[in-house]
Formats: sequence, C-alpha cells, structure tokens
Amino acid sequence: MARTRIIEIDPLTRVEGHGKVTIHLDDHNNVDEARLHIVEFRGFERFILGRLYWEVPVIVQRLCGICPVSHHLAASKAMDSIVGVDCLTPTAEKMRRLMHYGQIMQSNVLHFFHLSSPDLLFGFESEVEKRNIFGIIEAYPELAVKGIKMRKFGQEVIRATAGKKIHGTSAIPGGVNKNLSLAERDHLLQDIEQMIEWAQEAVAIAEGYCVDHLSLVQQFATFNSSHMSLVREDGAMDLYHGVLRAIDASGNVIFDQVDYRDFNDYLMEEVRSWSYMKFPFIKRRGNLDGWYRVGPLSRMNTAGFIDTPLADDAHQAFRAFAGGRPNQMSLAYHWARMIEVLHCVEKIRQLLHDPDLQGSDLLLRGERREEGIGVLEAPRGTLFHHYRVDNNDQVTFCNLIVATTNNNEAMNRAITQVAKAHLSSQKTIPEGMLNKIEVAVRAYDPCLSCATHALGRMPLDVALYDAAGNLLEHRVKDGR
Amino acid sequence: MDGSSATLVLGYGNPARGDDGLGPALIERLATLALEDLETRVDYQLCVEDALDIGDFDQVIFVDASIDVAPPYLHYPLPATVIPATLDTHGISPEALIHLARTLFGAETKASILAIRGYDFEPFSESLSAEAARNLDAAFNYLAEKLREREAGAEC
Repeated sequence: MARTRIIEIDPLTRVEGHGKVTIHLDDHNNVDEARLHIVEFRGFERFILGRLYWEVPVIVQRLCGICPVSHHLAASKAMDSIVGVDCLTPTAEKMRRLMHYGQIMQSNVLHFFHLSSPDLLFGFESEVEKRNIFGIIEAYPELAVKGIKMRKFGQEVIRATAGKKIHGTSAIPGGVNKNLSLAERDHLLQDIEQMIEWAQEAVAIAEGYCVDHLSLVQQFATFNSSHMSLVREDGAMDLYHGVLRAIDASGNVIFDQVDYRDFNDYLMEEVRSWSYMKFPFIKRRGNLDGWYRVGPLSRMNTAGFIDTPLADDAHQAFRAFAGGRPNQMSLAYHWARMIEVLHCVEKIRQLLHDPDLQGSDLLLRGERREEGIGVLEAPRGTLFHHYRVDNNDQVTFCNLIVATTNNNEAMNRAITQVAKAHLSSQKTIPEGMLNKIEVAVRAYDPCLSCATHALGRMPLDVALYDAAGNLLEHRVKDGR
Repeated sequence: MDGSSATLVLGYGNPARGDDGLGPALIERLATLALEDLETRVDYQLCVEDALDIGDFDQVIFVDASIDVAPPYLHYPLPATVIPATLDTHGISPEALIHLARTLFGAETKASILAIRGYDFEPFSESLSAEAARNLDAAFNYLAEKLREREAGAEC
C-alpha cells in the first residue's frame, strides 16, 4: 500500500488569522492532497445569544478587527428586517453605502499594496528577507506611500459615516443615527480626485502583472469553479444590496434573482472532521459539485456590468482577458480587487455630491418580526448574517457565513493545485517553494479570525509529514 | 493642538478578549487627566495609516497587554533604528509602525512601549482579570505622573 508524507506550513504569513497547511506526499514524493486547516474555534454565534437585538450591530464588530464595518452593516440589515423595515430612507441607505465603499476600498488597498505586492513585484521565490512590505518601501517607496494614503482615505470615510473608526455606531435597526455634515463632505472631497487617479494606477499595475505574466497567471492555482455573489436586479455589480446570482464554470446561470432572505433554500454547510471551518455548497448540486467561489474574482464573473464608467471599462478588459468566459485564475483576484477599489472610489465621489447625504430622514419602523437575514458583499466575498429574536428582544438564534468560509473549498483546491504543480517529486522543499502555497492562499485574502468566528488576531501557521506520518518540516511564526 | 511638543498615547487590543483590553482600558482612564498636550487613540490593532501622522508628535507611547513582562508593567523605549518583523497581517507591530513613520514620512518621534502584564485572554470575556486590573491601576498611576511631569516641563 502506498504511504504518504505530509508537509506543514504553519503559520501561513500575510493572511489574517491562524491556519495551517498540510501537504500530503506519497512514497514517490508526489503530492496527493493539500489541506488548509483552521486550528481554532471560538463560536462567536454563542456569544450573541441572549443579546438585545439593537446591540448586535455594534457587538458583532468584535468578530474581527479587519472588517468590522462589514459585520456592522450585515447585522444592521438583518435587524432592519427585525424592526419591519425592508427599504431604508435615501439618506440612511446612502450613508451605509458610503461607509461600505470606504471599508472595501481600505481593505482591498491594504491587501494589494502591503500584503501581496511583495510577491507580485519581487517574485514568489525571491529572497525572503526582501519579500515583504519593507522591501517594497525600499524599492518602491512611492507605491508604499500611496497605499498608506489610500487606506487612510478609506478609514476617513468610515470615520465620517460610522461616527468613529472602530466600533462604529451609526447603522441602527431601521436606518442610521447620523448624516454626513457639509464639513465632513468637504473634508473628503479634498482628496477624492487624487484617490481616483491612484486607483486607476493600481488597476494598471494589477492588470499589467496579469498581462506580463500571462503564462503564470493562467496556470497558477487556476481551476474551474462556480461563482456566487449579490448583484443588482439588472445584473450590475452591487456590493451593498441585491439578489443572489450563481454561475457555473462555463458561465451558465445556476440561480439568479434569488432573494437573499431565502439563502437557506439554496445553500448548505458541510462539516469535515479535519477543519473547524465549514464547507458551504449549492444545495441542488450536492456537496461534491456544489462548491463555489466568492469575492472580487467572482463578482467580476457574476456581474454583467459595473455602473461606474472607469471601473466598467476595467471590468470589460478583465472579462476580455479570459475570453469572455468566467475567469478562473486565482491570481486574477488581485486585478479584480483593484477594479473594485476604483469602483468604490467612483461611488464615493458620486455620493459625496449627493445632497441626500445631508438629509434628516434617518430612521423607519415597521411591524416587528422574529427573523432577520442580512447579506452584503464584504471585501472577501458574500457575508450572511441570520438571526432570530424573541418577544423579549433577545437573540435566540445566530448563524454567520463569512466570505472566507464560502471560499473554503476553493482555497483547498488552490493549494492542492499549486502543491501538485510545484512540490511533487522534490527531494527538498525550499522556502520559496513553500511560499507559492501561501501565495495561493493569500490571493483569497482569507480572514481566518472571521472564518472561525474567533476574536481578534491570531498567528497563522506549513508542515511536511512522511509516508509514515512523521513530521519532516514545520514552520511557525507569530502573526504579531 | 500644536503637535510639536505633544504626546500621542495609542492603546490597542480587543476588550472582548479579557485582558487584551488593557490598552483600551488605560486610554479610557487617561481621558480623565485633561492634559493639553496629550492625544489618545484606541484601536483593536495598530494599522499602517497610523504611520502618517506620528511625526506630528514629539513622542508616542504604545500601550498593549503583554504576557512577557513582569507585573505590573514595563515601560521601555524603542530604539532610534528599529528592525521590524515583516508585516504579516492587516495589523502591524509598534516596531514596524515606527519604521514606516521614520522611513516614509521622516518622523523623528521618540517611541516607547508600555506593556501591562495580562493573564486571561480568553474570548467573550469583557472584563479584566483581578490581577490585570491591579496592574492597570499601577500603570495608569505611573503614566499619569509621567505625563503631568512632562506638561509641567520635565522630560517623560
């Protein structure tokens, strides 16, 4: 009987949270399988039980220091339903959208400029001492500065709309509790044209990387999958609200125009013994074939168009790159992420010129309901919040499906494909080769803290076991 | 505020993770001091954009919970030249942040870390352990005195 060796990468670096990769080799040193393990589970949903529903949009921000705004808004959308509100006032919806665009912009920018650019600009197997943000600062200081200033701008949008940078409180069940003052608007308008210009430059860098490294991008962690996201009813990309659309690897529609409140009719979650992170799948396709991808790449594939002109031009170029079929290249996530940054900045500019943001009609109330579901497109993909609330206003049920969980099977496929392509038949595994595994995971910008519903930030753990299960190589770094 | 002589105290940590909230708790206490040349900030974690305006301050004090220092706290300076660990996550270490501020934005700000000993970092615990609360008292009294001395003209 063939025996296997296992390689561990522990922790993964430049991703958020604590995970571990194990690579299983057979007797001939060929890769049999690679797995992304999530090694901690803390059950945030239990923490929410018993809480008063109006507290939840603030409390859920403790899920994650990275995307608290996404949780704030998804929970608020769910609680809108609890208070019987299906349609917000224009001021409330636009304030929330502005906050959301600021969040996606700053998160995508940080990931591209500071976490992924070292791999893209220096190469996956370049010197490890240089392959980090400080190498970027030395070689490309202007790029590093632009990244920081763009991130700061996104945070300023959040501060102006959420009331503060962390633990924002402005989105409340049924609406918001503040509008955008003229002073806040004018402060943000000062930098918006610069942000548009830099966002276009970022798209050009990411597109240029894909075009210049065509063969690599077409092969590295490229595999067919279905894709899912919210889209606007007319098929436009919509990051805050819409209907669910899923397409298969050929671009055929699996479902479309699905009210996200019915998501449980379309999606299921599978538990596997070796991971605390669940594996969602499209119910009608079953657990073997029903897995899908979410996030920037998927949003480019599911959306028919983008309703801002510069991002729409970039979207068309992106679609043409894959010949009009769904783009299945994991490295294209970076390009897609920058197109979204451009879209968000264009949206922010539109909204800053919209007088509705200075409106005073902020809050609505309807007939109280027992169940609320809120869904939006977070930076990493589709985020589901589902609650039930009793007559005492206390939460009795909470289920969250975060973007990284939606991408669980895809990340495992990505590292298996890369491991098979680059690690098979190798007698020794140098760091640069192991980094390719991390590059594949990093393309998805996973937030493992969120995915395990853990609190805060954890170190991320790769390990190599021989055919008898003996550990051959093990790397552990502290995420701090 | 004229930042040239000002102090920035930046407390970070997750208050929903027990003693990890020591940094934010100390910032809350500092609000009672009402010192003119003091600016305080609180966050879950340090972020790259914090590097942008650190140069506006004469000194920055990072306040964090620690399991590595002897109780009740340890206040130590970051050297003028800092060799940071790489940036691995969306968060950033004080060493890396100061390196960014000095390299990219020319900051000459003095930097130090006030590490307060914590014990219990379990999730879903929104209060400090009794030992950590005592260490917080000691750290606050120490820092308050330092900041008052500084405002009165002595070096912090």
